[in-house]
Amino acid sequence: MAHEQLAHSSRQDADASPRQPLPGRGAITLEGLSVRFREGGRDTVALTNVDLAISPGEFVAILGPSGCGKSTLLNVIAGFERPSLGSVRVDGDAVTAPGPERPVVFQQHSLFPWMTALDNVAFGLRMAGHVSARAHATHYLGLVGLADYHDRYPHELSGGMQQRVGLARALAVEPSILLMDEPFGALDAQTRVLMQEQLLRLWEQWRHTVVFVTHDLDEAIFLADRIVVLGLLPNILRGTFDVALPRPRGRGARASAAYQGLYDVLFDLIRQESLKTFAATGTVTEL
Amino acid sequence: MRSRGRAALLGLTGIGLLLAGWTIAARKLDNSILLPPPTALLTGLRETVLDGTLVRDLAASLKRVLSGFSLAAATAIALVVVTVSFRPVRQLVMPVLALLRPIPPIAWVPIAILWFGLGDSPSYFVTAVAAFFPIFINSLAGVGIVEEQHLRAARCLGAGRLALIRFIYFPSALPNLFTGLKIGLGQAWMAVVTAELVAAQSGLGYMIELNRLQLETQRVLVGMLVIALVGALMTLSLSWAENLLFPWRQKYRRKGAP
Repeated sequence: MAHEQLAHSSRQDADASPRQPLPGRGAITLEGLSVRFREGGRDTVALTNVDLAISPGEFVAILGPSGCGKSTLLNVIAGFERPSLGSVRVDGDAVTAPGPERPVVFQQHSLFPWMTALDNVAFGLRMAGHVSARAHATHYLGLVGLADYHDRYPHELSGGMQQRVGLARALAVEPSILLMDEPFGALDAQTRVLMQEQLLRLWEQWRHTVVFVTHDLDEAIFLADRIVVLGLLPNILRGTFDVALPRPRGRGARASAAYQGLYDVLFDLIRQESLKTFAATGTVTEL
Repeated sequence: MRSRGRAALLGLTGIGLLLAGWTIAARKLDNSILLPPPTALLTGLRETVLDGTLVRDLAASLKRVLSGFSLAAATAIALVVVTVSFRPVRQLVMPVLALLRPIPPIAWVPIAILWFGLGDSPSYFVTAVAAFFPIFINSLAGVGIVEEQHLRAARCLGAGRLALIRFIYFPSALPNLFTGLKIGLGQAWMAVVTAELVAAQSGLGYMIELNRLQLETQRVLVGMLVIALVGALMTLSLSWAENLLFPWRQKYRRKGAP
């Protein structure tokens, strides 16, 4: 009996390999991107003249101190916000609205509280008129290890579980690009590390493009192929850094010399940028 | 668990103190028309049950409150849909509603009698007026409280305008709509009794007014007690239904949000 169950579950696992995105899909091109808001009668500059090309299948982390416009960058790629100047293209087409080829995993509280975990994951599939949305969603909930929680409502799940459901919901529409806006930022340190490892395992099978916004240096280095640092005042692109850590990355990755070297460089850069806000505040009080 | 038992004990003690104070006051006053003792409630209850008037009047009141309430709910929800969909309509009706809202339901009774005569109709009207405003205002507020992040999440998963209304706006507004229905039903129940005091020939309001004229004070008190019990039962059952229908709201409520 036990043996039969084992055989059955391993067969399911064989079926469970996610469908690869179409090869060559998921390229993102930003050209001369500037975003300004009008806020309380004043113009606020969120981004100035950003040029960035992301290749299909690349894992890019956007790093920077708070207020540098990194979430704005993600929102523009997602289609939630429009550029004031410049262009955003995905696979050559200008982004004009949000779409299921580039879903977003948010920081927290983005699951629909009136739907069970399974219905949350099935949402995008139902929007696409998927014939077996339920079965498909069950599969993706299983990929993040939450098959047993399919009938729970979000408020019955821990913060980490909610983020896993959010990840499954985005993966279920089988996108070519995954946009992640500090998805693990609200979790405790232990859970965050486990989530990072789970995300990498899924991505290594799948190889879709990922744009991952974070203010956590360690997270950016551990996950990304390339790190884009945004600066403050002005909010421009400060530099991009290739992460020369071999994949697959596991717990050992953080102990390597390459990790430490990059960490120190980025730490100093972010520190300089962050100091500007302190300096700027000081200037204001002097006036 | 201990604090819940304690709360129940204190609650029962409160009711016990009320009954004790009432008994003492009734004994001192010694006037069964002005204030009969609590035991007279049982006599009154037996009389009104046996002669069938209690059941008849309760049924009449319930019929009126449910009719008026349904009418109000249908009108209020339809109006919310229209005002949300067409901005000019909102600007057109909001001042009118703001003007009518402070009029207490009982102030509508005389004009309702002029328009509809005595019978069921004025009670339907007054009940509907009383229930309309809480339902309208709460469901309108519900449409406003949709979370921007839920809209964004739905849009990036491929939801169009109609899907947003059906799967995001509607369920977001539902708990507030239900709160409106709950308050509206409570208001309607109070209003129906008020209307029946003057504008009807049956119902619990009519029953307590008739028995006042006949100096059957114990029956007046039975009527009041039934009004209280039915009102409390309505609120309790709707709160119970609310927890069943919107389980995710319990968490917010426990944290002190509405």
